[in-house]
Amino acid sequence: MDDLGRPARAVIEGLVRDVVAIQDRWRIDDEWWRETPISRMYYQLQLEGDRIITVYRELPEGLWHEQRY
Amino acid sequence: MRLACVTIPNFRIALERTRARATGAAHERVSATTLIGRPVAIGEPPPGANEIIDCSPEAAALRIRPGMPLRDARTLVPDLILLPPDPVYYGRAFDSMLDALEDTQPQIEPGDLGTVFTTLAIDPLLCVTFSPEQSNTKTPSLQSPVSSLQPEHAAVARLLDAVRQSAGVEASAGAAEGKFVAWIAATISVPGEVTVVPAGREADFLAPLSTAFLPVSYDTHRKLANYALPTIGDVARLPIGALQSQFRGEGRRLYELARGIDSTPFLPRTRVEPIAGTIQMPAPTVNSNALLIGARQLVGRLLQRPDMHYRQVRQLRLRLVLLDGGSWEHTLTFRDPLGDEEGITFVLKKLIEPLQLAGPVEEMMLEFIGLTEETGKQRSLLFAEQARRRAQLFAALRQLKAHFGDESPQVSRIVEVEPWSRIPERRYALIDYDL
Repeated sequence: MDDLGRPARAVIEGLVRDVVAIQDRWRIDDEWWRETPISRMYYQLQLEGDRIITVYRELPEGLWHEQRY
Repeated sequence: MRLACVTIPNFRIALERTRARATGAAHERVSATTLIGRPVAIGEPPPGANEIIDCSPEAAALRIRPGMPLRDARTLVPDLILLPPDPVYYGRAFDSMLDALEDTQPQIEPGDLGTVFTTLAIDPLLCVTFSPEQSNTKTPSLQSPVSSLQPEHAAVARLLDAVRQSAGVEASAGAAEGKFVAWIAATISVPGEVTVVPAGREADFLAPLSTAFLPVSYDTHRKLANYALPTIGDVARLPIGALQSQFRGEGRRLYELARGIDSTPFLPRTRVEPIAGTIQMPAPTVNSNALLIGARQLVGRLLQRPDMHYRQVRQLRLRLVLLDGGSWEHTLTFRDPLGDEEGITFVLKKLIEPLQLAGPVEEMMLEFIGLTEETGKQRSLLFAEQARRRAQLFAALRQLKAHFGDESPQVSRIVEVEPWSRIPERRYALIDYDL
């Protein structure tokens, strides 16, 4: 992550790749009425080699996941 | 025919209070103590019928009545405790009550929820202890306590014990000639007590009772009030011609009922092994697509059962358990018996799609309650190719399972559930192939 808490590098298939650009980002807050509400910050990233992936960070724990579909 | 009637007055309220005592809360918004001695009603909220279904005696004393619109009830009694209905819970409790009674008396007929009719099989050992002379001297009054040593009393008291043990609720009971008089005898009894109406005394028993007990239409009740006929005895004094001319088709029935003549046949419950299944929703949902996928999964699972081979379904019951503790239930009768997954799912879709529930669904139960005998049905040629590929797929899956046994790979299919959801994993679901 960079100083602003944005993703700067990603490990894809065992290789570390730099983030070239953040194409989009959005936040989802849902199911707030349940015991485990959903709160996520999504990023659509362009990696070196022009590969595009979507990742999200669980809030507030800060775990990162790739969204593959 | 001598029959007994066992009834639990305000069945749903009694169950809610029993549950409240047992679990500490009847509903997450109502504490247990608020249900005791307070005006309580069960109402179907909008988008349902929006009316009162059942109410406690305290609420009835404040003029709350079943069928009353919820808005009127709230206006009439502002501190009325209104609970959402839980038909699945009531249905299960009634089923266990039926089973318990069936263990005591072999032939029973379920009436309205909370009411059961049974034949009266008198214990011969008890009969032996009563000679005819003794029986004559101990002819009970119209209302006798349970402790009376009359054989019918003893037989009916055993039914009350069975209900007490199965439902944890005190029922009242009556024994008489025919269903109508037995039902009234049970209804006017104090919970835990039995009223036996001796044969031939039906008219005397009914005479002082209100005409409100007569199971006739609302119009007829209104006319009876207009003609100043407050008691059943007043009706019994009228000739059949007068009743028929004033009440048309219901005149004859009024004439007979007022004299305690009830020719309604006793139809014993036939016990069939239920073909039923339950599915837990992966996440509580109100989405009709997700519900439909669950329903399809259940239909496929039930149709695969060996006892469904070559048989078709006439009637099914869908029950949904809601997240907030309530439930929803509907019984569906098909115009023609159906035996294929597509056909049954299509009808369920028509039921589920317009459904507006009071809360998200946690659990779905499907039961086939009306089945045909073994039969064959010509399939449409148009879907032959689709059916052939489906059969091939199932055959391949069965071979996999036979080959690998318990370690066979899990085979699933991806179905679209909420394609519009902002949460990606809510858009699709993995559904197992049931074999």
